[in-house]
Amino acid sequence: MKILAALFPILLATTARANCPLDLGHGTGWVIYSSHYLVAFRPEPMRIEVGQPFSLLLNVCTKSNSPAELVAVDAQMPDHRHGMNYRPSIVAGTDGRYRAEGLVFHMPGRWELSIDVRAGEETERLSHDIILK
Amino acid sequence: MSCATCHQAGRDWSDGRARGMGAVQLDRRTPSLWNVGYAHWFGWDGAGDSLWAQSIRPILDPQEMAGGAELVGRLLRGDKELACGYERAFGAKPGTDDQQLLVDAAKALAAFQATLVSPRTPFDEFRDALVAGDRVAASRYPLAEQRGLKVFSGSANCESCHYGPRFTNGEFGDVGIAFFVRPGEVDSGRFGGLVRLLDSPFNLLGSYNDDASGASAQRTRHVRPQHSNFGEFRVPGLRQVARSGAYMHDGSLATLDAVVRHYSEVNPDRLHSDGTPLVRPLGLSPQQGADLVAFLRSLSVEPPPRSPLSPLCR
Repeated sequence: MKILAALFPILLATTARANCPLDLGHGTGWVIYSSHYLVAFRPEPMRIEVGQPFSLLLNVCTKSNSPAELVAVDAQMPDHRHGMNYRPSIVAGTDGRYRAEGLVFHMPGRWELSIDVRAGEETERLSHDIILK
Repeated sequence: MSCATCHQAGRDWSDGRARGMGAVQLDRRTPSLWNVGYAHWFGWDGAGDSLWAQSIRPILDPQEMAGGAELVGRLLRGDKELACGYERAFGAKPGTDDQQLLVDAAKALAAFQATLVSPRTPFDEFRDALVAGDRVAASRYPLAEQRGLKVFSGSANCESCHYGPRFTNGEFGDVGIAFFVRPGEVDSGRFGGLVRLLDSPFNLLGSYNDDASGASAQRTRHVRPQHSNFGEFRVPGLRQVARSGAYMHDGSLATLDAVVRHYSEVNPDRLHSDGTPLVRPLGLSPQQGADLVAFLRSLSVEPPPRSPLSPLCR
């Protein structure tokens, strides 16, 4: 089904480092950030459907331009107190991007996507709400 | 005994019984096969991840058909018409590998079952009229059914699970039906189904999957066993639902009115403490309950007669 809000245009492209591009192609996707990290991601296929498997293409960057990696991706429905029935797997691409495969949002409503990232010893969770109708 | 012993065409591909009867009385209801080709998990516990794998399970189950690969192999080699049909479908005469013949027979059974698509219903006419902006046509859908649809999609929140064109998200839930099948024995539902799925040589991760890309096995590869799977059962589709009672995985509710009453009065103590709060006593008024049943009935129609099957070989 339709994502309630259309995929946001990339908001923070101007902060991206040249070696950590936040544009994942197609000119659309999300960028979320904390005081240390910037994470750009977009779904494949572009439109997330209730009950249909999808992947996320991600790029993990730090504001200090130090190396960072993706540790885990998961999602929950806080209003229903349950997560996904599937555990995504993460594949690191040769281009520095990551691909999280095997996500399924099996109900309409608000899903909280959690993305665990790490640079050195420091791990942090960034989250983003996606609403499916 | 054949598949059609329980999945009878004249009974909407079920058997009209509260619980199935194989070699022995079973603990679960025989599910209808309408729209089964669109599912991604099969059986009440999702122990099958493909329609063909699911078609093997009752053949081998000693409580159901109590057959075996050898029996299927003998049948395919020994029955002239089946042997001819096998050769037409698979391009070679039935060989001596009984397990392969069992898988091939199951894939042929699956191909047939995938043709069992439910007919258009009064609800579909209403939906199409709304999309087309045809208020006259939309007004032909009775008001009770329209009110029931509002309850279904609104306050009752049925569509969180009974979602989409088949009215199921294809996944699993605990809806407050008792786990015990007899004193001291429980049906663990999805919990046990996942154990059987991952242990099966016929799952989509195995060598019998024809899909070399691996795409069809994505759900199986990523499925996450969870404690909350205990006592969960597959969310059934609702098309033709008024024609295929009894209801629930164990056939414990005889009518749609009883099903609606169950959700209206469900005891929260029967639900997982760590489970979803989606299922809660709805506290429907008698009018709301009757409207919801009217809506559910509008998802069913008398199916058109099926053309007789052509002989496999002339």
